[in-house]
Amino acid sequence: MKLQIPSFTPARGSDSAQLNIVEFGDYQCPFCEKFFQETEPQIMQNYVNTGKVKFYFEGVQFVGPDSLTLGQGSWCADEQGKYYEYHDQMYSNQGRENSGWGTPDKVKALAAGITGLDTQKFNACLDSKKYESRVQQLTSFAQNVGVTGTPTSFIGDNQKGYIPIVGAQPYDVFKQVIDKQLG
Amino acid sequence: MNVIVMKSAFLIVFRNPAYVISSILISSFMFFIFILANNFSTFVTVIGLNASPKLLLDVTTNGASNILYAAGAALFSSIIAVSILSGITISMIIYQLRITRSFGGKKNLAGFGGIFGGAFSSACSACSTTLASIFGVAGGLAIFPLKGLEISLPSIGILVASMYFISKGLMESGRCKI
Repeated sequence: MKLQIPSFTPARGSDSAQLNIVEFGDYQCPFCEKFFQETEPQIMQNYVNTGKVKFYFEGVQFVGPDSLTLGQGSWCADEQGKYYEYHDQMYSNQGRENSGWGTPDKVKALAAGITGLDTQKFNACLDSKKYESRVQQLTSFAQNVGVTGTPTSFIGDNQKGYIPIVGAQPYDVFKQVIDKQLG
Repeated sequence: MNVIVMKSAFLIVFRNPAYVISSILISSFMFFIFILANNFSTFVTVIGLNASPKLLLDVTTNGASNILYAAGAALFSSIIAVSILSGITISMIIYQLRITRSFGGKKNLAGFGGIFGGAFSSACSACSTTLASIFGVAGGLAIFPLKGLEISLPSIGILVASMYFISKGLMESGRCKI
């Protein structure tokens, strides 16, 4: 399958990487947190930091209303070049699904822990809800490409096609797919 | 529910070691099916890679550990209980079929409802992609306050009831009606 990665999504890794990993995740999803803790570090170490693969995270709203707030926060952080710092901060401090840890006030408090983030600017951005439609569009986009749950990762590029991996699967599953796609 | 009836039927069925072994095998198979059904697309991807059996085993054990991780020990234990009870129930149905040449009627079918309940309460390795989502339960088991115990506990009840009716049928089949 082919996938048009939104141009506004920042990537982790080298621009000359041969392959993309596009993860659709929900900041409230415990399996995304498991993927972040257990699998993502190994992918970063062995494929992203070595320049072979570029990693994209697309925050969607699947689990509940607070996912929309958490998703908007990522774009507010992106305005200050802190998209992945926000991603790491939220997954490192994730609470239970729909337990209230993702309300605007809680998100602001967590974001304040991101080094170098202008909190006043971030808070004003979050309050404005200017990225609400972007998160909704990304959620629709995810559904259109066949995502039914999070995390779902697509590995490949538009020439080779993308292979989906649904769920917080072990690193070895990702390794097999990445190695196959790298040829 | 008469416990003596169940105990007597158990002693009759499981004095034959073949039924003990079949219960263990069916229980293990059912647990695997619960994991497979909720991680189907990953199994398809891994099989498509011609991956080693070890990787398939990794996906299976990861699926089991994800239930524990996301839904807790209570749901995990209840799914194991459903698997074991499914194995026992199916073995008893097989015994009944072989001995009485009769399936035992609609009451025995209830046991299969319990087995489906086990499959639907098994969490998947991704949010919102449990079998429950197929029926429009957006958010999967996350929307349930007890994370799926609402489904698995009644399933255990249905399976125990089914085992009772099978036991009763077996005991009645061994005596003449007046």
